[in-house]
Amino acid sequence: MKVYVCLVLITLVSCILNYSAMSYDSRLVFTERFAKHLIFLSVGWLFFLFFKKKKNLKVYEFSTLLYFLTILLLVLLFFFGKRIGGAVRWFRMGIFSFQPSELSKLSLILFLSFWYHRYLSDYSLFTKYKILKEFFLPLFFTSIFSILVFFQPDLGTSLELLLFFFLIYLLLPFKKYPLIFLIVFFVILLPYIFSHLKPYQQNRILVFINPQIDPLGAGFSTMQAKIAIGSGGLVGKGFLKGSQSQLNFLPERHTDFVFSVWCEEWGFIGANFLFFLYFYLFYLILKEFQNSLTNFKRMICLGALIHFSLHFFINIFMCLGLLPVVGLPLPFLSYGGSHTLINFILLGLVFNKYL
Amino acid sequence: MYRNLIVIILLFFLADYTLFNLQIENYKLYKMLSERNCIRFIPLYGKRGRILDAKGRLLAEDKEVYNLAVNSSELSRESLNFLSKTLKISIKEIKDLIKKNYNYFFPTILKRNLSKKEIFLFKMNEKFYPEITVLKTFKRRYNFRKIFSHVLGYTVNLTPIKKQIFKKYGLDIPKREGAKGIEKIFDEYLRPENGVIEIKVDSKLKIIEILAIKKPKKGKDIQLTLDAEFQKVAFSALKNFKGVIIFGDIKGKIISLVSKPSFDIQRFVDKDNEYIKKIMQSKNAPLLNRATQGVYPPGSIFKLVLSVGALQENLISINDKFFCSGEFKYGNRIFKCWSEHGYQNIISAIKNSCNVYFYNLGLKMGKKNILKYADLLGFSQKTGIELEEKKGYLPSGDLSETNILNISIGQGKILVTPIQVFKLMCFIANKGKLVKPYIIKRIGEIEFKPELKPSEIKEKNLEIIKMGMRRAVQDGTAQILSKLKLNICAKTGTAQNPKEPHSWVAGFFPYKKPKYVFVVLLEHGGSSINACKIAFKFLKGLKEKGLIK
Repeated sequence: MKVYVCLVLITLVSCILNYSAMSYDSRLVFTERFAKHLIFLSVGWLFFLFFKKKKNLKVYEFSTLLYFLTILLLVLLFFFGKRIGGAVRWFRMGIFSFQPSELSKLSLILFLSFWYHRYLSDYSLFTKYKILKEFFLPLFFTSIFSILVFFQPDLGTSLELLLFFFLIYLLLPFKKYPLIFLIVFFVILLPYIFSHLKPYQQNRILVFINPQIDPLGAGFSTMQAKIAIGSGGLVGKGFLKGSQSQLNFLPERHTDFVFSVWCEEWGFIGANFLFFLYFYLFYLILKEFQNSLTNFKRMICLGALIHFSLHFFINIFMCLGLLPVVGLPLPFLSYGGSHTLINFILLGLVFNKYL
Repeated sequence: MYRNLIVIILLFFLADYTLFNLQIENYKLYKMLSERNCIRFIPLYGKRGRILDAKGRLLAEDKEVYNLAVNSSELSRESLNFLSKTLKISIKEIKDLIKKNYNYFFPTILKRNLSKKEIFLFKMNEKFYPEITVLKTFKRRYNFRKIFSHVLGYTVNLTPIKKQIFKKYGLDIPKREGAKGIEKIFDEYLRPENGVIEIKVDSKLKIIEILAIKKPKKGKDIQLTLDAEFQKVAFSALKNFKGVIIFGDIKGKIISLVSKPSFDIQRFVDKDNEYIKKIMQSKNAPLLNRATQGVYPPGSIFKLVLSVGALQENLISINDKFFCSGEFKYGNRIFKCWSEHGYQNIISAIKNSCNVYFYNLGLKMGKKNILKYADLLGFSQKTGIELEEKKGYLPSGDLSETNILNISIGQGKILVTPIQVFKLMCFIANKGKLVKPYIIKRIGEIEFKPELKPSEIKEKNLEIIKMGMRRAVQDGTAQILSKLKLNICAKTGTAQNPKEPHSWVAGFFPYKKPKYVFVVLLEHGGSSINACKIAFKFLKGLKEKGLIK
């Protein structure tokens, strides 16, 4: 019951917010986009109800298949994907697009849950190459996704997948030294990786470190997002009254910077209301984690918690200027079909009592 | 598992703290920044008040000029290309120009004084390149470039430092202000009230909403008592001398006031920097208004002050005489007269400008009386004319007898301005009333009247002095002026100084019922005969043109 109230409120916020964020665009674009967003939310709710209520879902059995299917899709993307703005991230399906990298997040949660479930359930089977099976193999599974996504190219999601794995590993009762070792290794490699990034990606990182270098270039969107948030004040400028959002000064309003639109129009109070909703959602997931009976379910809850909080905080910190612009969506609020549907499915699985 | 909850709570705290910092603590800053994005002020400049001469001729007025401006710090590539092509400067230069002058709320001017062709070109393209606007503004035009310079002054655009103050407050519009003369002193009347249109724009600078309009207001017109025709005659009469001609009526109304050398005020407004530098550094100090700011020893003109004082204090009568042998012995020292005049009474002494007579008179009066009457006749203070003015110099404290002797003939520790001499002439001409010289006839709707102040000086005393001055023209030092047949009364002066003497003549006419007053001074102009020649030329010019009868 509680999760319904929470999700209904988040959905309502999503509708209000996207209506406002899209309204600068021409009538035609606005109508199409907003209608699509409503469809995503509705279909999302159906998925949520389906995955929450259904009894014999066989997720455990399907997780391996889904993992390999996702790899296939990510590979096929390079041949049949649609190129938008220099990146191949989407399959075109009629008037909709499908983004396999979003699916990879769900696949990874399920496959790692499957993997660690088996590992934790049957110690005798895995005692031999402990570190390999605890750390290096799961890292390898994650890296396959991460590398395929990296070459789309989508640096944000690629890093998010790795970070996701590190966090899940950190929370499991294993020895931490392989992770520390790897991080040290990573830091040493950093300059080399940096030199192989695309110029616009390098630029984003440089601007984040020192926003003064190019205030009208790459730092522009962050600055505009901060202006939008700051000028909202305590109570905000009001619905459809935000000058940053309604007069097109804020870029990527309905995707990356949707939180800034909310802050501008509803102020500090509105933003805290939103914080409360998400905090409550995280709390409910955590409770579900504690009440789970199987290791597989516990792993799904843990994965979902890390997935949602990671997206939530990275997106919000990006809007607040605490992180560089990486383009991760805000769950349930950013426009976009793939991640909305996948988030609803994931949430459905978390609250499924029969899993 | 509570460990995870704590981490999440901490992250929420970090987010909320940052949010608080942006939305509550720095709300004002970000509110201003968001307004800077979407609010623009389009200045509507007002017309500065005109300056007219006594007959209504335009001396200074505002003419429309058009400037090219941009109203965004961030121009699109197309706009940059267009500007670079039409202005024939590189894109980098345009960017630098904008960076240097950009003020978020107001358009930044890229080029001033567009030609007709350019106005048309940019107006046509305004809708294709929304960052570009053509702004109407005004520039001062002077119809007489040199003859009114010291009276009118000129306008300047506010200095960069002052502009910065405006920038800080964001909302005021850079203005022009008067830098000298009437333009400066009556700036608050002449100054227009600038208006503004406040608009809301989107990121493509499309106007979404007009928030407010404030209409500009014209400045007040000022009419002077000066007459351009008189001014022209005076200007040409002075030839290449350094000097001053002041001409007015006996109530203090000034009809002509010229100081030479002069300068071209239009070139100051046009910012002809080379010319301005040349004028500023010139040894002849062309910017100095010699009529009101130049201080000179009065020479024999000052003998009139002694005459007024001595007669008023009953120290002498018309019958008292002193003998002039061409020199005056005081102690071991000999003070010379410029000729041997024999027995002189006050009338002949004024007529001949006899030094020995006034040495005697000076000693008789003493320091106290001399200074008392110099003070009474206005030599210790500014006359109150509506121009930049100095007050001259009167000695104070102890004076040796030698000093008194020198002052008696207007030499030594005494300096006066020509306008103070003008005031003295008015005083004698209008039977002992003190005037305030003035050049403003009208500001807006308000008319100005002469200000006269009665004094205790007896009329009959002044009649004696007038008689002496009349004789000076008939067969004395200012004889040249008699040819004009204007019944002039005058007093000359040759003021000694380390270089060539200053040459003075001042007077009024007609003798019976004085109407006009004049003062001529030539700085280092030699003998007073030179000043008389210039005065002759000036008055003759006026007569020939029918300006006086």
